[in-house]
Amino acid sequence: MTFPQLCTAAPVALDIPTATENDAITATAGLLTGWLGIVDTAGFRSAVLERQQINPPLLGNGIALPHARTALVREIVMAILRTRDPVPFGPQGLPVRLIFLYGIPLHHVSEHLATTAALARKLRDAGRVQALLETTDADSFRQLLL
Amino acid sequence: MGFREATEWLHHVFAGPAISGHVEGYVDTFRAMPLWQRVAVPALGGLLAGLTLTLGSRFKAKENSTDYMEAVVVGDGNLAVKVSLVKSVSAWFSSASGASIGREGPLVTLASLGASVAGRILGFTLARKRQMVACGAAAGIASAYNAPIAGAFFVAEIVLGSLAMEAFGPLVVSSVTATLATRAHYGSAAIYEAPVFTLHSNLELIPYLALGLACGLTAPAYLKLLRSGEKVFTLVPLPVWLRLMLGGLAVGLLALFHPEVAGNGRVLVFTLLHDPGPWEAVTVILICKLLATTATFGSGAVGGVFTPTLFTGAAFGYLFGTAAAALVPAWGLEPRAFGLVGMGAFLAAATGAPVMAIIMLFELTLNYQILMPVMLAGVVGYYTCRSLDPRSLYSDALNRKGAAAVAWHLSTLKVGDLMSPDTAVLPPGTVFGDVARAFLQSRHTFLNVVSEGRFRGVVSLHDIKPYLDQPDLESLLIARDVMREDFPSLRADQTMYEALDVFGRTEADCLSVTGPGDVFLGSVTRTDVLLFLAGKPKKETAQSRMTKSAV
Repeated sequence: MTFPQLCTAAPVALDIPTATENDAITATAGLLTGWLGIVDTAGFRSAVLERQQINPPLLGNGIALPHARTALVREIVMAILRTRDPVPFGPQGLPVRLIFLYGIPLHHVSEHLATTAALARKLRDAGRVQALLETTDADSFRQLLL
Repeated sequence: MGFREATEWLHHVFAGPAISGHVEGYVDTFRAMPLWQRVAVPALGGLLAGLTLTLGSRFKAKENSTDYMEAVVVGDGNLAVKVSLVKSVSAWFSSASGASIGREGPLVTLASLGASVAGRILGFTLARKRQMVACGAAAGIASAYNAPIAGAFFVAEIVLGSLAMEAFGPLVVSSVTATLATRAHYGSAAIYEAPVFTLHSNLELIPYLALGLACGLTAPAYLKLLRSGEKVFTLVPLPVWLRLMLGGLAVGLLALFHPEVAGNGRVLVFTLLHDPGPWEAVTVILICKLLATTATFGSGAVGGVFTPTLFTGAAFGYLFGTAAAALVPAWGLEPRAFGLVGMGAFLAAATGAPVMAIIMLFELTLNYQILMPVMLAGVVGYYTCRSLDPRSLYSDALNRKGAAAVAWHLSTLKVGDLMSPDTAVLPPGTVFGDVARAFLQSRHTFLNVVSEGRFRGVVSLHDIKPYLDQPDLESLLIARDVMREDFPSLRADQTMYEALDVFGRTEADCLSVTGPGDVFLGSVTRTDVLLFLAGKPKKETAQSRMTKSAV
């Protein structure tokens, strides 16, 4: 799956009220419930949270990229959530509003690297990030990522 | 010199009253023997040689080699003393009883053994011990044939396969020293002193060229004949003593009609170069000698086939020269000169060492005039023979011993013996930036990921290389995200055979070593394995460390 295909297919939820990092991640992972590419949504969410404990992947500018490479996904999956208010992430409690949560099948190391790198490249653009924070519907949100 | 003198003494014992007055060599002795003794002496010699090998078989060679070629090429420079001595005693019985086999084998083995023991006593490193054994071999050849240059070239070209000055220099020193010592006792006369032959016309080079071609074409058949002898004796499983006795008996039966077959063939070469007699007789003797050599060699008698090969080449060259002289009588060709050239060309073709053969022929005859035709015929013979059969007189032995030594090392050496503690391991939580920096400090393209003392996987430089210029990834990814969990690893108790199999299925230059429960112990690199097999381990093995600490 290419990065544009991944973005186009990703469920997007905007301005969701969450208070904590765990809630935000659980809510984002919840967007993938029933998704064909996932073997076990709850297990996948636990894998992401467990990975989050080791070293929360924060890009800065209010962006978090929680992810997990696990046997609980069959193909690359991504869900996007924009919180209504900034949520403290990581041990330093950095404020986050944009959450790009993705799962990678266990042995797909190259795809893991490629997906993370592609997201980081897109979200390095401050103008695009600002647009992502201001856009009002999911389709235009996805378009901004292409 | 000691072996040579001991062989002469034992030959006198075997011959008994047959030796009365001056004799030129074994051929004369056998001519003087009654018929029963011509059969009995080689058979008895074979029996004694075989019994020696049988009785000595309890001295298993264990870790050390008994062959100087193996010790130099794949071994650690340590020759097994007892087994080498047993083989030399066996060769002593064979040689002294008139077996059709060269004496250079035991001479070289004994010289190499002395060098190996000296290297051990002096505590030389592995590489220097190997060099010592090679020097011993060069000294053995040089003293056997009174040929200092060829002695050095024999080892350099055939055993080492290199004329690099680093190795060649010590060979020259040892072979010169050995020759000087031998000459002090036996004099400096050429072994095969030959009449001086001169080239009357450059046209004469044409038949010599043809001779080279003919030698190249027939040498593979000669090598095949020798190998077939081995095959015949392995058809029926016989005890060693019986095999060697049968080999001796075959020589004795041939000696009944043609006592010329007895011995290594040195006298025959000398006769060919001076008074060869009619070509028909030479043909018969060549055939009988080939059969005798095949029987002796095939029976497993310890010794060399260098001198028998010289005779075969000389006889073939002489017969070729006779035919050429009959074909173009106007050119005044001298068949004996063809015998000389044939000796060099056939040696070059059979041994696969043309430089050694050319120099050897010069040193054996000290006849400079013959050098140019020998160079031409030798090189042509070498290329022709190699194009037909890439194997040489010694390649089979080298391959067999090399393969056996390598197989022994591979099947007995454990992964744990070569393993080194790997300090460049990554915890799973190492951030991407630190992973990249770890590769900068490592010579490997894979880094092990270890947590709680257990092996988890490896990070491949190949995987992360395209992303090393992306600083954003430094904090987004950790080693665990980019490691390969399905990467093969080795267990410490696996043999090197199994390790090489695993190395063969992966592109990794380094594999992690684990114990029970995936406990990470260290790593082994391809280089470690190759260096060990090449006899140059970069470090002590765990086993030797344990031995030393126990001492």
